[in-house]
Amino acid sequence: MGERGGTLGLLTIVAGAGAATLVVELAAVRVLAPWFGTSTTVWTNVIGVVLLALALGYALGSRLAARTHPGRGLGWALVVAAGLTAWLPALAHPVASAFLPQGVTLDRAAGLLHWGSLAATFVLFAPAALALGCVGPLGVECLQRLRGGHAGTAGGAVLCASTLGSLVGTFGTTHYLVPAAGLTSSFRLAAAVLLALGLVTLWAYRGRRAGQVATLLVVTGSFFGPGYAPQSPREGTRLLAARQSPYQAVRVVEFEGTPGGRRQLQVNEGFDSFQSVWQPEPGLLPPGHYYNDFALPPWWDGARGSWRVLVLGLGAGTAWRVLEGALPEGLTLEAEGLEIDPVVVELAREWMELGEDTPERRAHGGWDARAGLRYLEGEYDQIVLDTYANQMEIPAHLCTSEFFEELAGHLRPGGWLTINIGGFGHADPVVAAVTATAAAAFGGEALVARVPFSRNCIAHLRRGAELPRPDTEAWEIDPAAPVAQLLRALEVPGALQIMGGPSSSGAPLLRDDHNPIEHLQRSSIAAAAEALGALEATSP
Amino acid sequence: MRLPLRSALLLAAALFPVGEEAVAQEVGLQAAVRLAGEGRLAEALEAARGEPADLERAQAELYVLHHAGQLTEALEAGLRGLEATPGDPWLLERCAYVALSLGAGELALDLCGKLRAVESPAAWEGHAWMLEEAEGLVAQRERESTALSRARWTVALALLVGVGAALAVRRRLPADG
Repeated sequence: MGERGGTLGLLTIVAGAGAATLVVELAAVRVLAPWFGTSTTVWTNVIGVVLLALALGYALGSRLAARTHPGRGLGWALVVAAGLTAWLPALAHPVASAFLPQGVTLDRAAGLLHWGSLAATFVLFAPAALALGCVGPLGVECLQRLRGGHAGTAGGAVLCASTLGSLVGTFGTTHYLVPAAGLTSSFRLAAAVLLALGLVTLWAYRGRRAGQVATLLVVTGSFFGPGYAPQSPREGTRLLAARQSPYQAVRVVEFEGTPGGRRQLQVNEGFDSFQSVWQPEPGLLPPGHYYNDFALPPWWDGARGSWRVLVLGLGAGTAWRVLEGALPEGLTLEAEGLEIDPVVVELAREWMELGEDTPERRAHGGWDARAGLRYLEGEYDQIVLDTYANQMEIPAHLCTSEFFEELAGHLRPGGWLTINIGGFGHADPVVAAVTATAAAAFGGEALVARVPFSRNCIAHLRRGAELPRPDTEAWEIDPAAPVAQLLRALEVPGALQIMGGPSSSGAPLLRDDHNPIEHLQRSSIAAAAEALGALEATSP
Repeated sequence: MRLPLRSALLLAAALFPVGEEAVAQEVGLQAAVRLAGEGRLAEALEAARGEPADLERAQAELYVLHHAGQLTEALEAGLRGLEATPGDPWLLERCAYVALSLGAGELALDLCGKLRAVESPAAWEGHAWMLEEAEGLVAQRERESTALSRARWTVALALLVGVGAALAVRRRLPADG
């Protein structure tokens, strides 16, 4: 091999390894998502473990580089990495399930999410990352021996090629590989590239033929192993559709034995939660569904004509369907919605009657709520904020005082902001902080309702107008209204609380500059588990 | 024949209807059950809390709060009643049911055990499913605890192996080139 050809070949090899490293790292989060979600905690664990394994790989590679045949070491590192990568799809289910058993509820999940994702990442991804870490120093050594010259020159060239490869791996994995080919094919493609590079390297450096053949057999075998199999739908449900989107794993399931069929759209479901619900008839859902509370403001408001609603975090359009079937007579729904995941909108149109866009109904898929808000014109009667990521997390930029001020700017005077907040009561740290922040931004108070039979709270706020309170005229609605029974449940002491801003509630103000929402969410789950434990301890 | 409490009260409410004004001033278990059935939950809770007898007050509070979807408060009311009347089968059954809804497996298991001890075999037959559910919940909690321990040990082991491997590489893989 000539010097120029050898140099190009070596740089191609390290670039390929760099790309594969990022395929493994980015797809790792997606592999774990059905069990552990894709929260910052999971990302941190994956990045931390991969960095640690790469560091160990660099150390090992630096020692191997000092041996007689670094080229062979490079070839073997690539072949081993290929084998470990090819097996990942098959190993994901048994490993992740060992650290997160089925049937865990959200309120019990805090410790398991943190430690489980960390342990699963170590077991699944550290070995492959370690092998890939050896590639860099071995590549530098090979290049240095091939070309001579300065170590820094060889190191810089290898780092440049490796980083460019990583760049290709980063964009390719998120935007093309995983959405188009799925997780199993992504890992196997990365493994195939590594295997090919490894065998070429071994051939070029005259590695032992028998070892090559044996390794080839082992690695090839791993390509025919079982593919990635996320958690299956629960008993009593039927899978209607499943897709990998650029954001998450999405599926639609139908409950067997429900009249007309009730469907849920679920994302990364490791727990007992769902993103959207569909039932054949529009209108209120059975008790315990927080969406029903979205229908209270139009009754309190007494508006006539049309009711212009914006739903942020539209999902499959459950809020629209509830409002559509529960509005006061003579009031027509004019609705817009922003949903960050376009695949959710596509599945909703196919399976949950979301319908194509019309002048009265527009679902904007692929838009972040805050970014998309800036492109929407006109004022709304009601904005529903139902933006959740990873089943239980309110994104940090969607619960700050600056964001709530932007929302207030999109409401007509007297318009309503309705926020779904996952939390275990008025004292819950997340409920208290989000409510206090919104109240401060709206310059008033929030009416916070605990949703019966659920772990959700709904906060109602108004732009420049009084909120209805029990025992006032503004509170009362037509007793025949479909939502009348919701009010009766809210009148029970303890179900409702008027909450003020941070100065009166003591809750922190969440700002773009400083927003401890993730810490608050962990505290919320821990506090709920503690409260349940205390209740159990009171057994008579 | 002994009617279950709720059925008896609902039957009584249907047989002896009371005018709205009278109900508003009325307190007690019977009024609470009827008002809850009519969806007038705040009044029902008020009536329940006005019940003078401890046991009936606890029963009424639990009944109304459960109707209102306030599960934790309903269970707390029931447990208070059981402190005063530990063997009341209706409270035991309702508390076990609500505890199951809340995922409080050990509490539900304990309550089911007590319910089984006070009920006739025929009556218990209708409630035996709760014991199975409670056992399932407790087993689930054990699986979760085991998984958490397993995860922590795996992380610790992985770190140990990592440190050990780094040291071994340093010692046993001397440069030979």
